[in-house]
Amino acid sequence: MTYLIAMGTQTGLFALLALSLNLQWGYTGLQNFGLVGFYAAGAYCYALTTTLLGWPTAAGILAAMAVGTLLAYPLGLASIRLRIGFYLAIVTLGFSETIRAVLVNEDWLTQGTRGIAVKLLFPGWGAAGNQTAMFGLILVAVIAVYLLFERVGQTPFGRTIEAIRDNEDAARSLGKPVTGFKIQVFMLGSAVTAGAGALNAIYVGYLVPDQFLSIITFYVWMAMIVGGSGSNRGVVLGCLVLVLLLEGSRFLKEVLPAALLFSDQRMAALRLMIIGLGLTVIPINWPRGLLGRKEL
Amino acid sequence: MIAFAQALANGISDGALLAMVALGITLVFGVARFPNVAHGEFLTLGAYGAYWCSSLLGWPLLAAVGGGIVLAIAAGLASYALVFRTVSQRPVTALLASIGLSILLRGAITFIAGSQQVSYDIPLWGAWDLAGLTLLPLDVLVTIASFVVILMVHLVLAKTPIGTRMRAVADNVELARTSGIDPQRINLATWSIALAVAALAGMFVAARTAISPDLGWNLLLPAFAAAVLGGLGSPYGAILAGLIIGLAQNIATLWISETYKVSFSFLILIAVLLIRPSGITGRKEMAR
Amino acid sequence: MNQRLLALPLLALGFLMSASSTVFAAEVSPLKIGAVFPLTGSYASYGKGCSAGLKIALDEVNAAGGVLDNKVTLLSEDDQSDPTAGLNAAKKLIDVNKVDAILGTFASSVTLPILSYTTQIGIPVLTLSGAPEISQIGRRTHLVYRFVATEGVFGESYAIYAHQSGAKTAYVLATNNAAQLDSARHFTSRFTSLGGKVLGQTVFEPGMSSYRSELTKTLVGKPDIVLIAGYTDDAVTLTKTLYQLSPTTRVIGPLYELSDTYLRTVGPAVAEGKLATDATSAEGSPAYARVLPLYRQITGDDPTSNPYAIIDYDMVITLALAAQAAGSTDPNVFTPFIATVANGPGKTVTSYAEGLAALKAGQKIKYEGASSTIEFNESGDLKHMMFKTFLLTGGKVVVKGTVSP
Repeated sequence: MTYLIAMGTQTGLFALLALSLNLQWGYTGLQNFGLVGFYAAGAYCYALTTTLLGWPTAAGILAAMAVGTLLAYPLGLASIRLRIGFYLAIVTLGFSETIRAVLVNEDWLTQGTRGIAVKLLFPGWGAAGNQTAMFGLILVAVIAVYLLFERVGQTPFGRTIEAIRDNEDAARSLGKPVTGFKIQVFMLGSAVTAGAGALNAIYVGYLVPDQFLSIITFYVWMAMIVGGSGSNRGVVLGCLVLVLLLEGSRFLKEVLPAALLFSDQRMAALRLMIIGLGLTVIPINWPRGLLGRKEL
Repeated sequence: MIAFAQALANGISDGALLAMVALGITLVFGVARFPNVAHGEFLTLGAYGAYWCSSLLGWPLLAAVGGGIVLAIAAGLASYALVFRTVSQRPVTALLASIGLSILLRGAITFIAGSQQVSYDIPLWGAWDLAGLTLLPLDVLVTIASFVVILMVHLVLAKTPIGTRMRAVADNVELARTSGIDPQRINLATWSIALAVAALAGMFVAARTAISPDLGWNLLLPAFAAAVLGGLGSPYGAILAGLIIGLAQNIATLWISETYKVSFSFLILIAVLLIRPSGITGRKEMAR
Repeated sequence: MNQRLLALPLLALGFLMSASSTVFAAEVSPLKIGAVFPLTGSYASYGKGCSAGLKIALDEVNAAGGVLDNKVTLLSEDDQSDPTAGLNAAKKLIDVNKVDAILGTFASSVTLPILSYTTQIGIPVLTLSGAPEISQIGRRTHLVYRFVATEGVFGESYAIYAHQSGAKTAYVLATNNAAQLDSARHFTSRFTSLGGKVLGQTVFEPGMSSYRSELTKTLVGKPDIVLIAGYTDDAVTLTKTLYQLSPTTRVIGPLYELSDTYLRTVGPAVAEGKLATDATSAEGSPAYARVLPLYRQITGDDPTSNPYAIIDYDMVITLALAAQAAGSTDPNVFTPFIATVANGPGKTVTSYAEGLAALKAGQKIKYEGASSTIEFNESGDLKHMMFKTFLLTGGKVVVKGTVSP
């Protein structure tokens, strides 16, 4: 049961990331491949403010979101300069790797590879209680962000950013301050990503920089595509599929007949092959995803 | 002063290798219009191919090198036929599929070869001392070989009919088609060259270090930085950018910590892109 | 008519049988062990050997009759050398497979998040990780048992051995993780206190394709010896280049790094003269003698390449003996017995069968393992131990002596 709750929590964390990404890519057409950098920044900000400075949980989460927003500003600027989508992709990727390098190397602040322990949400409640509380908190967060972004999508702001995605020059010629919108989208999305990072810090209980490798960004992209970019409902569903793929593949060895069981190492490699195969085939055969509105 | 000269020498070595990898990425981008995240895996396959041919089958050096190239090309063309060709009109889908493919290929390599590191059986010569500058013969050899490969690609692109057609297709596929060029054949030719270069790059890296399933993946980030810096789709840009980044990384470590090497290459990239958003060679991608 | 009459007694018999088996089963549930270690990712090269060590131990325990007359099951999960994946793997094993203990965790960056979970629910963790933070958790919760010397102690052993070998100046190359950085720290302070001089330190990222700039910095002051605090894969790359740059500079590191595998990969010329130390000091033990041929048979390798494999073997045996001694597979009951069967006092036993027999005869035992004389302090760390020193020469790894950090 606790495993299921943990997987639900993991799905929820991915969902927060995917919703942010959907705002940036699905709605606005910005290729943000630096998600995990903001996730990491938010997580570390939370850990440092609550552990070193003794701030309460809510303050820590807000601090994390503030840091995410601030860090997004330079990327917002970059997105204006870099009209070619893939260039932004590489730059954002490098940005997140740089954040990780800083987390590793500036150990006077971040404890580097030694890591930081994160306090439990409710220290008196025991493991099961905390796990359930965590899941509840993330569920509330996902619902809140989902509703927020759905609402945003229906406002003039939302229509403008979709116009930017579809034809930036046209939007600009209509007098829309494209620059400002792009920056805002980056900052809003990154605030949510960093907030999710703070929640992740509480969930895992111990932070090390190695938790934040770029593969996570790739996973979230996949989840968004699977669910259908542009659709908030879709991307949440996509995260469920992602977690099923990542964790479900663990159960492979329990399902395969004994004759087919390879060595431990081969089984692990096989599991990665299945994950890779899934992530290759899905974007190709289901370009609109499960619930997507627009073709990629 | 000597430290600076040494950094330059090291930088040229590292840069030449980076240039080769970036070249492969950019050649593929030229015809397929997406950055192939699985490119690193073809480096790894090239390295393993040569290893299996020489260690397991006992082939001599050149034949083993050929074997590695054949393996990389076979895997690459299979990927093209099964995966990338179906999404040729959807670049972002292709990018995402290439991410999945890279995980799949690395898993497959681990499955077949195990994750233990192996090494080529090549002699190690002592370093040469040139007026205080230390040069490793192996590094010099690899660097020269890298430049030879780059030169060969240049000659193909600039001097041969197929090279001209490759450049035409990379530049403007519709126009090329109307000139009677068959893009499909050219795609195959371009992919093959890019894969051969990747295989050789993989072998060169393996000769300097060792072979493991993550060999190519570890190089991907700086190579992508170089490809973008040079302007995606521009072979000469990629070569120049590779050298620039190799040099800059080595010179920078005179002052900053080693562990920031990769971040530094991104810093350079961002700095240049701020001034020239399309990269050094300023190749403008058509509005999409 | 006949069938109906037959059915009733058959039903009754069936009911009685299932009831009785339930009664018997309710006494003790079988011991379930979960293993979380890297089978893919940066630390994967140690994974294969670890699997073999675990299997050998499991087979031995079950061949002797299992724990409390039940077969032991062992389930392995790949942590992918990644903390989040490792944590999820541990959660799966604990919540879905209901394991009673987790063992074999390798990287400190993976172990520490797992501990933040297992210490909440009372599941013991037997770990290979070297970071000092683990000792603090062990002291606080008594739920972690570290079957390796901390990397800090390794660092001290290098300093002593290097000093013994006549090195006056040293340079430190350390891979970028908590355990190795701690090792480097301890080396530096010990070497300095012995009268040596550490010229500098460079931290390197693993898996890079070139270490020229790191090695250029290393050789600037022409150190007598270079400490490479890391693992085999990077040692291969670093020493090959180092050898070409300066063949007379000596190198020292842990045996799990400068191992048989290392020797075979770089060849005797590059490996010549390298110094190594190792905390495993039980090559003479009967347990090791028994495990050695089995390990060779499964993997084709020598265990000196992967001491972690032998340590994993000891983990399983110790755990099985602890549960047997405690008379229970409930972690709340058997966890303290881990230290009891390892520390003694009691009859010295070197195999599961031996220990089982002694326990059944009502005796107390002291398990002496294949990897070392395992004795825990209050932090769950191994007590002060001897280190063996090695020299790689003539294409072989040769034992030289011992040091006591």
